[in-house]
Amino acid sequence: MTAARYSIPDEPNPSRLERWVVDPMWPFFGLMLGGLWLALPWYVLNGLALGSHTRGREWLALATSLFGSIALVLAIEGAHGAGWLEGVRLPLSLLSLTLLKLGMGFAVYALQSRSFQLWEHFGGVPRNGIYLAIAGIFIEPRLWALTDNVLLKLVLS
Amino acid sequence: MNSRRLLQHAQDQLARGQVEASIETLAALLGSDPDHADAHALLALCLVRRKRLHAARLEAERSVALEPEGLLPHLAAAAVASADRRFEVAEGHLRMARTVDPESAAVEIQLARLYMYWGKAMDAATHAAQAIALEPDDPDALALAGEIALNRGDAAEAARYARDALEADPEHVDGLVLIGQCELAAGNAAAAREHALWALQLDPTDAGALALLCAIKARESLWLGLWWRFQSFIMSGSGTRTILLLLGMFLVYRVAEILLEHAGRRDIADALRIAWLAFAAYTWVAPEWFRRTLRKEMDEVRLKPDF
Repeated sequence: MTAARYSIPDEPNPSRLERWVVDPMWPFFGLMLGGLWLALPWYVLNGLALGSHTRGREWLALATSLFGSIALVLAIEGAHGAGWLEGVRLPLSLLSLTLLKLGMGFAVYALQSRSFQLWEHFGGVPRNGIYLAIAGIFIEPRLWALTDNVLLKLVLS
Repeated sequence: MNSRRLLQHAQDQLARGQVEASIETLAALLGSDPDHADAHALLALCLVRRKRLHAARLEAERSVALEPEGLLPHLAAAAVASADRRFEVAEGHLRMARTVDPESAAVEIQLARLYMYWGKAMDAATHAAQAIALEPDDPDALALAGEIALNRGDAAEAARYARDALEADPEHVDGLVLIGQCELAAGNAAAAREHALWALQLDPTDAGALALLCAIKARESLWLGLWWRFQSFIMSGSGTRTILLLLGMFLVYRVAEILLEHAGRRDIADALRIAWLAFAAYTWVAPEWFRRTLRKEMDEVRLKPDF
């Protein structure tokens, strides 16, 4: 009887969602082209599908991105209301939101990439995420048309 | 095949640069003998080579827990700690390994390599010399002594060590890379290229050989060289540093764009936007361009009679 192969600790443990795995760069493109509303759930799904062993850190980065954005938006709104962010200061302060989301998005991409490379090494064939990433450009305006809440748009864009 | 033979087989595979094959052999061994300390240790060493540091750390910890007085477990733990840049921890494991086997050239080699990364050149040279004294024909010891000599600027001594290493093992990757580095330092780019490509034929993933080839290409091609220098600068160091650098570049670009728009200089802002897009496209195509160039070069390698 052949003994079972030893499972190395960082080998992915894919779930039944495995057929939805995409290269982690596509959710990152989804973040750039669509926004956090697309990238956040996509990254979570991709991590679950991959059985990524760094899921905990990925979710921490995504939570930081979401709650950090909320905190920044509230801070900027308060500062703007107090008259501290007139003129060029407002667009410059809004840059902080972009940097936070991009930084966390890139961190999740880097973390998930390792699991993804191993998954591919063991024969995994990913789906092409380009369509959903590009669709984000077209879906986003329709999404914001459903609400007037500027703060929500700033957090999730 | 019993555990001892499988372990020897895995060690032979690793010595030949067949890291993936060695990992599979060890996974098979551990499937039937999960408490084999040396197998966990060797697996850790393979995983360090593949930069799978999280798994390597766990394997090294398991091997030390299974055999706290073992030579290979402590060597593996030292390799993992060194890769993590926890140099004091690595030193501790190597000191322990030395007490287990004071006559082991492998321990002296790893101590020399550790001190070299740590920036302690004198200690590195001392331990490299001790490794050669214990095993005068060990190509690893000879190549490492040569690398240390090259780092202090003594290319002639480095070349001598490289030739000795290749005499002991004509297909020693580190020896080939070292002699290539010496050739490049002497201005012989063509000879350096031959040695770099030969090393890559033997081990396509060897970081030293890739770095040497890229240094050669950087001298030959302005654009590829620019991308390589940029890539080396960005990618050296930790992942956090890379992310911060890229974000910093993006921040500078966006701040400049916003300030230019606010100052009414839309023309310059538009030019900046185009330049940024061109840069982004360049970073997108340059890696694949480099990979194709490298594959083309490797396909052209021919063994010259005087090689």
